[in-house]
Amino acid sequence: METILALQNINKIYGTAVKTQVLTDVSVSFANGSFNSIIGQSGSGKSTLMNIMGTLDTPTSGEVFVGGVNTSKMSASALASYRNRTIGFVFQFHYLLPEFTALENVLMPSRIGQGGRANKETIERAKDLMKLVGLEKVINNNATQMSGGQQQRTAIARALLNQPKLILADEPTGNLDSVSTETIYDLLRDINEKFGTTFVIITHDRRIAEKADRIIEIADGRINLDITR
Amino acid sequence: MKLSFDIAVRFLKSSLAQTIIIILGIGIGVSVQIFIGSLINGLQKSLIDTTIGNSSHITITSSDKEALIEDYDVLIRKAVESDERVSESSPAFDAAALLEQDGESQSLLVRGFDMEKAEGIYAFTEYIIEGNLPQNDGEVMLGVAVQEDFGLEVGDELTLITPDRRTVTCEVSGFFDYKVSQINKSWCVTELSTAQALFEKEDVVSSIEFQVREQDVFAADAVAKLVEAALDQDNLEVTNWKAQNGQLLSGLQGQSISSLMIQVFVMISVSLGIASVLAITVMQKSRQVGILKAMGIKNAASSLIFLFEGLILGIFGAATGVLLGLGLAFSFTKFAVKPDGSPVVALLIDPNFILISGAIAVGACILASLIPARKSLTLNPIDIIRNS
Repeated sequence: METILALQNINKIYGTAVKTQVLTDVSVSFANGSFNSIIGQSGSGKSTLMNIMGTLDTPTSGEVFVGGVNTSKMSASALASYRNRTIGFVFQFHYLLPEFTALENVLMPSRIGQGGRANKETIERAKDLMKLVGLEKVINNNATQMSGGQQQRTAIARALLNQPKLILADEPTGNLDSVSTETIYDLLRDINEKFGTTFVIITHDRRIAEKADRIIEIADGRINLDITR
Repeated sequence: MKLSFDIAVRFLKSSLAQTIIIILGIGIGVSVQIFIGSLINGLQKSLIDTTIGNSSHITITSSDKEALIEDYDVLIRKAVESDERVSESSPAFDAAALLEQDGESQSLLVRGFDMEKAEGIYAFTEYIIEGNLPQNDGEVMLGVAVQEDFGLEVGDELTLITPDRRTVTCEVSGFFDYKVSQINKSWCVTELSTAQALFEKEDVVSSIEFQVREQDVFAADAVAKLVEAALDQDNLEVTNWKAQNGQLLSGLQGQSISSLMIQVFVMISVSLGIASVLAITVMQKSRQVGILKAMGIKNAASSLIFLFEGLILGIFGAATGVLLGLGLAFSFTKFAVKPDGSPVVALLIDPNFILISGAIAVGACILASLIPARKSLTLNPIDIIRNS
């Protein structure tokens, strides 16, 4: 199967005076359309790994290929455009813009990509996505006027808007109760099946991780376990 | 651009109270600038009006103090044609005479003008308090001080003794009050032909006086040079008010400079205020900027958000400032008044000055927003994500 994301010999060291190696020689790749989870204890380096995958952070050494493109050779501006088109992020803290409504938040990646107003077609797609995540009743609510679950679902709809090939989710249900957690995971799974979007989900919840096609465990900055079901 | 602008508007709207306070801050700065500027400009204008408004700006005299000027019509034409800034002109025949009335005497400066032309410089009709301008031969107009000293009335006959000891008589046509005691006490204004006849000097004048347009008052020296060049006569001397009023000029310049200094410092303090508030805004909005950057907004677009914030604050602040400034000026002219109801200082509301003040405020706001715009460049989304 085609590889959407590949990491080669990734090392990440923080600090200059006191050096802390967070990732050691990590090499891993993800197949297009797959549903993956990364588990590990706090401080194991899983979030750093995700940030490097998402080009938000740069490795101290090693290379990241997204869709076959080596991201280390791209300029900041090219990387921003590339990230906008190719990757959708869902973070533990939803990171919605409180100044905008739910719908406007969902439309933001498209507006960033096009630099202006969203066209009719995109607005329709955004509304469809909000329906898909069960938010049709709150589309005009301000981000601050929604429950935690609604906010996280808005963030998922936002991540999907530009139809990215890859969605990186860092503890997307970390702040939610068990019922909402279940709903969100089912939703992500549905999207994976419906659109063929690749998911890499970081979680510390083994029960959730086990729902993925592939489980990668990180311990002390190294891949400890890699199981494909 | 559109996205950055929309985000800027939302950021400002989301903290409306803060936005209004910043706009008021800019507005007050601009209003102080407009008020002080208008006040100083008004002061200068009234000072110039009272000191040189009704006097000659450029004067042509003979280099030889005793000699008189012939063919003055030709000289006037040449001078007026030399520069478009020359607006008024009049020939003048000045000579001293002794007024003798009921055993008392006083020296007078008889000033003969082409009354119609001289009206443009001296505005006699504005200052006449009794009677009329001297229109007929033998009529003269005197200052209010002479009227009081000699108990004169319109229509009275005057006896003047010329320097060559001839006695001539004239009739008083009216009295003027220039609010300058020297003039009120010594001037005896008459038609040029009357003055020439009194002193038996036909077709000659002692000086030719000019005024430049109001807005070119401070260019009188430059205009005088052009006039001198156009006349090209060694026997004539061209002087200007600036050369004769050094102290007044340096006073006016000092006032201008101090006004400018006040305005510059007001603007600097306003700019620093905006810069610091906008810098705090970046801190407040760093989370949002981080999110936008994670979603792929480019550095230039994120910086533009803050430049637009500066622009919007500047425009609204300047508009508020203009309104406040005009309001302040209006109330000043209404409440700070003299007993006769006229304002203590007539403010000079110059639309150009107001436009420039507004534009400077907008420019300063944009300049101030460069600091937060630069700061936003260094915001790294990973720092926001990692630190939440």
